[in-house]
Amino acid sequence: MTNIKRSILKALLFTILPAVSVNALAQVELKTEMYKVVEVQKDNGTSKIEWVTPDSITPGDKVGYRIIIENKGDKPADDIVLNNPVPENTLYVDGSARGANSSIVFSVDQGKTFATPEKLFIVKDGKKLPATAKDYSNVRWVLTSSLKAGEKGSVQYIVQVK
Amino acid sequence: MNKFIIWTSLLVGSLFTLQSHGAGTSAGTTISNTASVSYEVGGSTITDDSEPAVITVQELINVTIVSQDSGNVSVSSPETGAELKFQVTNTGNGDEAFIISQVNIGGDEFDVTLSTIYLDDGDGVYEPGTDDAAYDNSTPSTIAPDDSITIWVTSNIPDARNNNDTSEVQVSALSKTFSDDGQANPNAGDVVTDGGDSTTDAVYGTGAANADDTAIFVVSAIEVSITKVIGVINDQLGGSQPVPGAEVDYSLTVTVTGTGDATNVTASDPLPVELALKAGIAGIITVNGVDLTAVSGDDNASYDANTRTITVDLGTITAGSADSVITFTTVIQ
Repeated sequence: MTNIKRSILKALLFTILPAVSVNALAQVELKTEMYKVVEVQKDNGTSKIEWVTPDSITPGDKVGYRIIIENKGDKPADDIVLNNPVPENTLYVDGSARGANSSIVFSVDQGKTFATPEKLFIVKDGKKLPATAKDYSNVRWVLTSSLKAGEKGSVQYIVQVK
Repeated sequence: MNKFIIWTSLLVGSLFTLQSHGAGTSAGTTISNTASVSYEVGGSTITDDSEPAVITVQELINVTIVSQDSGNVSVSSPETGAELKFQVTNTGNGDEAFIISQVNIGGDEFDVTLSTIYLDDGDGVYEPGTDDAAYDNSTPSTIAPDDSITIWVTSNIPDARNNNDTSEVQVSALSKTFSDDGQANPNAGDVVTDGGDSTTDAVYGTGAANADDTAIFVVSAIEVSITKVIGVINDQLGGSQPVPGAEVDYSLTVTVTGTGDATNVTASDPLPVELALKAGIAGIITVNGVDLTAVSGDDNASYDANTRTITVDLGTITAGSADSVITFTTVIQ
């Protein structure tokens, strides 16, 4: 191995090492699942909402995102905050965000500030107006309890494809 | 993390302006969603992102077809190439071509002979000789999302139909993608795999399921004609020279031919500035030999000195009945 090669390898090792040490601490695993949200008519005339495989998504369809967290470490994870920008070309569906043991807040400014719906405002034509679901740019879940080692949890919300 | 969010929103923001339109997100657009988490373990704050969840928007096939004629379309019996105007709009999120068909609808007095469908040249006005490119259902032109075309659906009206007989014609648009796939009567939600733009699937929309409209031809067999002739000229000097002060008699003859009743028939005659009705609004207008006053409102004849117009309301006239003859005398100014 030439000296040059050796020094490159050394440099690589030094850049990788800090990342590896962070990963060793990173014990909460995060996974996003997606579904097509459909209304299924039942024989008795009622209908129910089902989350199914997201095939053939077209404008107007509703897509449900489920964000699963699992503490794979051996220490509790505290102060867990989950953040999800509402994807482009979609609109947040009013009232769709769910999450046990969490307070849910929203942003209308690309995640700079967050608040509960009644405290969100937008400015349109120089007027301050109450924000509506379609104005939300981010959803944030602030978990009110720790995730103990080995525990699993999930939050979810629904968007509509524009 | 804030930096990351700003960067992503800038990136997707620029995509958004390219790919958004009224018909919805373009077929082939990917919707990527990345969640992030922050938490504390033993006093250290850690952040992490999820793998992006990616969805590709498929092509939704939607179309509207709308009659552009206001009310029923009057035709003669017989008539060749009577046209109906329709607008076809691609309300889906991808490029699509449509096969146009026309059928006679039952429950009316007669059926037409369906003829050629023409593609308008873009000005929305039917011009024989210009708009004579027949709509080609074997290779129909692609319509971009939100774009429209205007078509002229022509029909031949049969002979010997009565006045006010109607014929309803329905015009439908079918997605070429589904037609090519052998799905002539698709239902909303049906799919042509890889049939959409950017190798997406084509999904039949709820709008496309009702992509038809109707228009009605109504036979107008009545023809109302009017002729005007100059009668006696009396120059007040014992002669018949048309000089100022001379009186000129006119007669208007209204003839109704065909079948049925012509309703609300009104004859009007705006006089040139060189003529005035004799005695002005105190003058006399005869209708079928009956003297009526030129005063407005007291009978069916009137003269408006401001617009210099004689108006006679002839009411309903049955085709073939005797001509209506209106006479009045004017004075050369």
